[in-house]
Amino acid sequence: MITQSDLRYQILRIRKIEQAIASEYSKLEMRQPVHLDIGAEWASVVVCSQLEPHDNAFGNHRSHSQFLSCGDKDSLKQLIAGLMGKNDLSSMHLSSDGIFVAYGSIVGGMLPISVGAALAKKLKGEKGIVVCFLGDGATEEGIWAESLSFSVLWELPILFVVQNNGLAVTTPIKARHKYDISEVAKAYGLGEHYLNCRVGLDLLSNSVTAIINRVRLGKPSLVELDVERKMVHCGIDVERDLLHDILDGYSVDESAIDNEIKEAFEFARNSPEPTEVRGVYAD
Amino acid sequence: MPIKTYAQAIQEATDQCMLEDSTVMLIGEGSLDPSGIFGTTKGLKDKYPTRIFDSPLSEAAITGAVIGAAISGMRPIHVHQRADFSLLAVDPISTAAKWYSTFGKPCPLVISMVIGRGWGQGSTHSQSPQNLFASLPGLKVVMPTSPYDAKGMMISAIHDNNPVIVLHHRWLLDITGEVPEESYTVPLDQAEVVKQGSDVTLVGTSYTTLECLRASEILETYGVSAEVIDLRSVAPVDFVTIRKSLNKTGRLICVDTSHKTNSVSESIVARLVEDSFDKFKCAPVVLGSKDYPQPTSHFLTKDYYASVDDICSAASNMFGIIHVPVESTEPHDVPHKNYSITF
Repeated sequence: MITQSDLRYQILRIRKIEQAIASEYSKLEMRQPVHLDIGAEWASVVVCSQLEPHDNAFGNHRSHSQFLSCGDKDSLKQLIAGLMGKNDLSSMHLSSDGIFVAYGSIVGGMLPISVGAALAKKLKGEKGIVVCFLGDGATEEGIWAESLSFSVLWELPILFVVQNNGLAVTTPIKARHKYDISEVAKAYGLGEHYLNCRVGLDLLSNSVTAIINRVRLGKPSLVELDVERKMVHCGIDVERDLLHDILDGYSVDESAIDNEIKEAFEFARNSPEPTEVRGVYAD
Repeated sequence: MPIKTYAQAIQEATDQCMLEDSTVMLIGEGSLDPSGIFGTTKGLKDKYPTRIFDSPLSEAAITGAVIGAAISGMRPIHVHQRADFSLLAVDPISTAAKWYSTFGKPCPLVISMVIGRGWGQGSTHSQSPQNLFASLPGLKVVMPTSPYDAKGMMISAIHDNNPVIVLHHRWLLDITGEVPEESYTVPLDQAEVVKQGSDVTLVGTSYTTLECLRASEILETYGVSAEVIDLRSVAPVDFVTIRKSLNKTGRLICVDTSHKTNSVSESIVARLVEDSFDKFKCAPVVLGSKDYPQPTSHFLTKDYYASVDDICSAASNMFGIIHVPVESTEPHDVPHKNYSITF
């Protein structure tokens, strides 16, 4: 049983990691764009903390939180080393051999790929579900509707997690579409849910458990999570204060997190510079 | 003549076309963003509030919609902040290319896009897909280099009755140059000799034209006189201008912004070998980026793009001279500092 304290600790950990990336960015060691997740960490933590080893997750351009909360081995060290150019990972192209499979930097690109991964699980008779994280902007891509439809048609064990922060770079959602995301999912035949962090972590966590249990029975679903984006779309500048910070009132000894972050930066700085480019064809 | 940035030149071209023709409209993801797509759409919403649209993240549908508007009396400009995003709409772009030949009616459409480079842009924010578009008959595909041409070619593209793809290199958007205040056009099918020379012809495309010019200065110190051609249009290619130069120099190096294999530069060389074989004094050379997607790690991109040293080495080899690369202390993943000054 995951406690509210466990969840908050994980949220705080990711918050501090993202803050450390922001504060170290001006040293020009991380020579790439970064898409930070400060303000929405809870959404990834609440979902990913419930995934089991045979589950898989796919992300998007803002997926540090998912990558870090899936519990894959050494993910923090690998992330920081990737940001410094020391391995094949980067802020927009993370992957692992564990739960977190991959994420793509073209909006909506991972939607049908997640559907295919869920189809493979079903065809191979494997346990486990696929979780696809997307933002409100990705629901404007035609491929979203096509992916929802396939997942229902084939009764796939897939959960679409829409992290709705109301922004596509700086364009507000009202300037982009007028439909209700959950209602569209319902119309396509998915189980649909809407959750807001104001209900508290216990209720969020219990709701997600119930949703995931239904997905495990082969009922494709979508959950829309109302999140906030504190930072600019890309970069390290703060754009706004959080209205509902789930970490308000939480205090804990942070030294373990601080050490972990310090070790990850040291690991990345001491990692050798890569010399080999991966080829374009698999063996 | 006023000095402006390349981005300002595009903004001015769009502004003047929207002023003179009320059927010109613009749509693009982020076109109302405070930064205004690198400044290219800045201030236009205030002047033409009903004809500038921000866009949902629906590249395929928007491309189809601008085709629909184009065949129904509008002159749309569709803007992508990265060329990579246009790849979500390859089928509608292919449809636009075929509209005239299939239905005999014009499709006056501009699709303007930015090629990213450097600072960890990685495999999906740095593609240079002009060869893909150039392979679709019916599209005009242009890549201006100077701010002057950026304005003149944008205006020509907007006036044109065909779908025109205009690719702007991210590393050109901040360079400055002379740009007349008034509206003017630059043809969409002509290369330009930007530096006269007699020993070797260097054909650059977009940003690589600047690299060719810089290489020509180094080659001069070896006693090699390079003629530099700015290709400007990749579909159609202005073979007349290139052949004229080749007839003079007998030596050819084409430098592409895209992967070498199957690049526009390779097809130019192939055509010239086919029809002007006797004019070559030595084998031509094509330089481009490596044939794999751009890694994000800056440690792995040092030799990814064709560099000034690569151009100098290729040209020097043709004369039995050995080019010794100059050790640079400048970072390779940001534009060369010389290029921020007047073009």
